[in-house]
Amino acid sequence: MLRTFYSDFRNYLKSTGFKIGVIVIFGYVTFFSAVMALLYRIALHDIVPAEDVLCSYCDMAAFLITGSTLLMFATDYSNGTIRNKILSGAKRSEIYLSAIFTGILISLIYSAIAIVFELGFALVLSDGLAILTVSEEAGICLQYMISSMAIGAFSTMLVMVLGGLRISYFAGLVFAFVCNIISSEVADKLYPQEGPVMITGARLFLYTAYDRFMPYAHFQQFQRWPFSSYVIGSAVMIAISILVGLIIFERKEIR
Amino acid sequence: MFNIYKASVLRLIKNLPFIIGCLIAIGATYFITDTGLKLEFIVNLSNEERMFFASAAMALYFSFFTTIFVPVEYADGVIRNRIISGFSQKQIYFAHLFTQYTAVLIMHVFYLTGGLLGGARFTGKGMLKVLVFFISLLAYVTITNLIAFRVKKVIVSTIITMVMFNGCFNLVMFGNVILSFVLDDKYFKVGEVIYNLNILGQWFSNTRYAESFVNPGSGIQLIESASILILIAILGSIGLKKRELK
Repeated sequence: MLRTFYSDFRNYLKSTGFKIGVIVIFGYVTFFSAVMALLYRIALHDIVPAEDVLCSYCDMAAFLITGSTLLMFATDYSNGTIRNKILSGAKRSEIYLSAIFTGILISLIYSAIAIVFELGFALVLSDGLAILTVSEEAGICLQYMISSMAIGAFSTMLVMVLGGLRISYFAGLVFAFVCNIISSEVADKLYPQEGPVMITGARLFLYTAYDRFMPYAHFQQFQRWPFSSYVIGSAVMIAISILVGLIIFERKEIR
Repeated sequence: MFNIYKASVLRLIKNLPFIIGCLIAIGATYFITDTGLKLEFIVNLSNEERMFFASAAMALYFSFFTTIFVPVEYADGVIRNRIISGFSQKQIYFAHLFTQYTAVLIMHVFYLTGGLLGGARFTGKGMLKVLVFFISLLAYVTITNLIAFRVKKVIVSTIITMVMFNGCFNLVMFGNVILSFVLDDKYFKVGEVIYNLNILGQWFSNTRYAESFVNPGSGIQLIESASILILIAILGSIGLKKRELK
């Protein structure tokens, strides 16, 4: 498996897709930081706090990771790479696990690059952290990285399981968008700007569970739950991605 | 050009994702419009408002449908054969554009039928909102068609259009904050116009959830959509002859 993993990972690091991903991260973080700095200057006549720059990656993380895994592994299907790997003697489980771990590692690298860019802009544009301590902010950055890894595994699983079908081109992206909407709705209901929380019973339980354990909802400016909740949520998503994907991929007809 | 358009429309009406999309359009609109569905955020809306609420899904649908439908042109030498047969790339581009407009029109017929069955009544004001969204969807599809036709690759163009759609959503969220708390009277009109350049901005400003000040009026919205449509359609046709086709 290590040989397949090494070739997948090396292949992606050398691809144009990876370079474009890094450029997109840099462009988005630059744009977001500049807009935030301008807004603080114009509206509040103040300097932007570092917390507001260090969350630039949140809005784009799920889409960037899903897009990059899609670009890499859907192309593997369309140009016959997977078929050739099988013909070369690699087991299906090895191919699948290698894809999942490549997706996880690429997501980790993307989030690390984004955090480095954010830190650079925070140093230039802000006067430092206004509310959080350094260790709290570091915890949030770590939370982004762990959630990115889980999303990387899940989106790779979708592409590998649905590969060869047209639905694989958009399923992950549509899912990321739907999660974006659900996360807004959940945040709106669980953390209302005015008054108490109005939802109760099963709905409150579901909303809380989603907010606490769903990696797509973890790209928030502040930590809402203990760090272990984020780790558990991401670990469960990675485990599900590996198990479900392995079962389906082993039985899948590859053209 | 008409021959390519005719062939594309014939392919469109036999296309499985499109058929499924139309069935979802009629089914989902019916269930959302019908007051039997007790979803919290639409429970207090009238049938017409509920029907309009459902329309945003069409923007999401065309974010990926156009990009999986149009790039087929570049597979198996289709476009090369058309050029050999005497058609220009500009003709092919516009044929695809009009095919996408036809797809929007057909889907709207299904959508309106679903709304009608669900109990919506087509009043003048309600139909004006539908018209505004219809034109803004045409403008949006002009952009997705441009991306699909220029990028050529299904996966890359789908990623770009889906990111664009998510960006539209984020801009609406961001725009609501900017218009509510940041912009003063001097720059408000500019902010309002920018907010409504976006398809989801136009959709949101016509729902009950939006503050009334984010809606500059149907006239301005129609002008904005028509301007984008014409501008992007022309931009997309520039320099097509110089492209290298494999």
